[in-house]
Amino acid sequence: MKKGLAKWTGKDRVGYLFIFPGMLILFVFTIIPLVVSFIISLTNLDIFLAWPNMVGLENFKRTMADERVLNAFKNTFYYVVLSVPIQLVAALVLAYWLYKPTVFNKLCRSVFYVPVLCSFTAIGILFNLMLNSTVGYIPFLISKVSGEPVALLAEEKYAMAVIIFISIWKAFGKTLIILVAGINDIPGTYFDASEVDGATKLQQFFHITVPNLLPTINFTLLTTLIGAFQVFDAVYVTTGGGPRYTTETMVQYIYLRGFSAPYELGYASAMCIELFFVIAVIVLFFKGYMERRIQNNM
Amino acid sequence: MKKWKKFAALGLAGIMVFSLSACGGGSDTQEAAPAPAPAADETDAADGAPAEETDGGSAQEAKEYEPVTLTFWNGFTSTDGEVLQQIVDDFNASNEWNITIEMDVMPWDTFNEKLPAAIAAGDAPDFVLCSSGYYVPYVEAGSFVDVSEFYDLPGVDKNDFDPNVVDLLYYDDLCVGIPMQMVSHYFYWDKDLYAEAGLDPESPPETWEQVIEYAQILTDKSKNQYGFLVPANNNVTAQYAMYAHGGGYMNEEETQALFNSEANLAAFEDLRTLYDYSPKDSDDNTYISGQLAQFINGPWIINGLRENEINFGVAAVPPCEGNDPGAAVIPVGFSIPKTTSEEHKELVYKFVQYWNTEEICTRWTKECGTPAYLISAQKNFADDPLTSALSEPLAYGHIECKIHGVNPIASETLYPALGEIFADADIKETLDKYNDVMQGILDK
Repeated sequence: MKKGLAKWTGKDRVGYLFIFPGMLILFVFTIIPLVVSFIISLTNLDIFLAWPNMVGLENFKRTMADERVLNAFKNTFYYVVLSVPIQLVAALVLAYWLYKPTVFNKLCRSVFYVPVLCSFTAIGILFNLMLNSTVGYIPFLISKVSGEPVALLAEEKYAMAVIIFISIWKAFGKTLIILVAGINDIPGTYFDASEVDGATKLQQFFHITVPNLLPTINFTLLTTLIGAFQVFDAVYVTTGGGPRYTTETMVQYIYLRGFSAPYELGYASAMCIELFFVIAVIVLFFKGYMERRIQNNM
Repeated sequence: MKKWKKFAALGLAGIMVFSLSACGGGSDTQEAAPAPAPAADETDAADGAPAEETDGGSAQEAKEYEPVTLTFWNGFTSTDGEVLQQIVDDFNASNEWNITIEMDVMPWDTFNEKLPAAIAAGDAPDFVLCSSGYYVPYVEAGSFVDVSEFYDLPGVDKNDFDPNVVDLLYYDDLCVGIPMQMVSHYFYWDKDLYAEAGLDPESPPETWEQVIEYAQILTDKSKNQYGFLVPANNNVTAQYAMYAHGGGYMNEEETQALFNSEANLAAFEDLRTLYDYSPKDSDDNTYISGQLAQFINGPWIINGLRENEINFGVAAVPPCEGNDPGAAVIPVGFSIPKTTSEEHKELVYKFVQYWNTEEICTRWTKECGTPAYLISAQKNFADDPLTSALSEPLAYGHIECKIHGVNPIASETLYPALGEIFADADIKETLDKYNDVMQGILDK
């Protein structure tokens, strides 16, 4: 039977009414801002909202010549390539270890979830203090080994790695909980049958757990990917983009251009549009790839 | 039956829409949620403006004033902010106009991110503190009202204000601020660390060269002790290194960038040397940690040094041998955004008048160390060595980049230059590169 878009007739109308509030929110808070952002990107609007002039594609051309834009994209990709797989793998391994409903497992899952509930500002202040070279405990411990304290967030070679660690530490609990729920949805008979056949835990993991978890992994991968490309608070509260712009990500630079002097909202919007298209292309690619994998698995 | 299903569906959809709109009121994402109209007038209607207003606060008859809340933003996150809060609390407790001031303190970066958006959205505070480093974008956008009428209010004696301070808060004919404080930056040293290193704790360096020499002697990284502090994201220390060598950002007219001058070249070589004796990260806590032997900072750190019982000395930043000293002066003023209602503006003047009294000016100087700018308060400190030391640079200091604003200049040129130089880039090439960037800003 061919399925198309439900028509606005008798009984189908009810469905539209149910999705109307969600569509309204999507339209007001996503579609309209996106369109307005594109329009602003074609102007030289500043934050004081003085009437702007249309500049066409000048803002976009400027981004191509701006070294900091290229640097920000590079830092963002670096962050995504490291943080997303590490977060997923860590969450998957721990989810497989902790999915059974024992007291210990539940306690561990709760503990891992606590950072998810905390504000990133509080976490940023905490890590800034812990990593401060004069008053922080971690540099103090390092100084016992190396002889002098190391300012991890002020060193170019360590700063981004530390930010990635902080981000994973904060967010992987959410991925863990989602994957635990996915594993618990796998019928237990699969594991029982594999045990009868003599499968080891590792074989069960790769041949039962992971294939059946693909839809859940697909969801967490896409949401984590989108979040990683938009990383901002982790950078803003710790390094502010330094040292020497080595941790400056796209959203951090967009925020700086739009909300600090000279408050160039038009230019910042142009970068937003570019980031949007980059994220859209990459996410659609991964979405298609994962859906093919899931289809093949069925 | 079908009709009931339709009504049920419609009712459910309606409940969802209304419940979602109710959730939208208490957003905790961004604080600058736009108000539909200038909030001040509606607030007046809600809070109630003073039932009767008199020409001044000295009316003999008892007047009933409706309670009014004024919002006040500033960036006094250092230890002087605690003193400011106490003064605001005292005003709230004692004023006869039933005014309650809610003070919101945030880092200056955050202040300058939030305030323009708040003004554009009509949701700005009733008054703010602003310094010369930050005024320029607000002046260009017409964000602050002219407050020169303050000096004509009954009870305000304009002659009691140091005229230099008043003039520094004028941009052409626009009086953007009423003085709140006038500061410069100073050289601080830890007398106990000096003594431990064998240096005379009562004799600070007399030349910039000695500062560097002492920094090396005072640094012991195994004890987490540093001889100096060179922040890579703050303009003060680098500026004073330039002044010590007779350099600076640009010419007086702010038309020509001089960032790559020979004087600055020498200054940045010194900064790279001093960076070896400096912690690589710093915040307000670093200055009062007791691990920093020498640093350059403003008077706002004095309260924290006292609270942490650090035995400190303070003096003018010394120049290189044979050079004249240089300094930046920073007038800080009470400014009123254009979104503030006339009723609230009159009430803001009450607090500003309270601030600009001999009593409060003296208290502020005594507790925070900032030089007194009211002539009536200055006489209370004629024999005070600390205040004398803090007042000294005001005689020869200048406002840095008054026309273009030191903050945007430093953000686009000084900070990236420092980052590259501390990463061992060639100093001359780096200064040449950012000199061009600075000239581009001046040419706009």
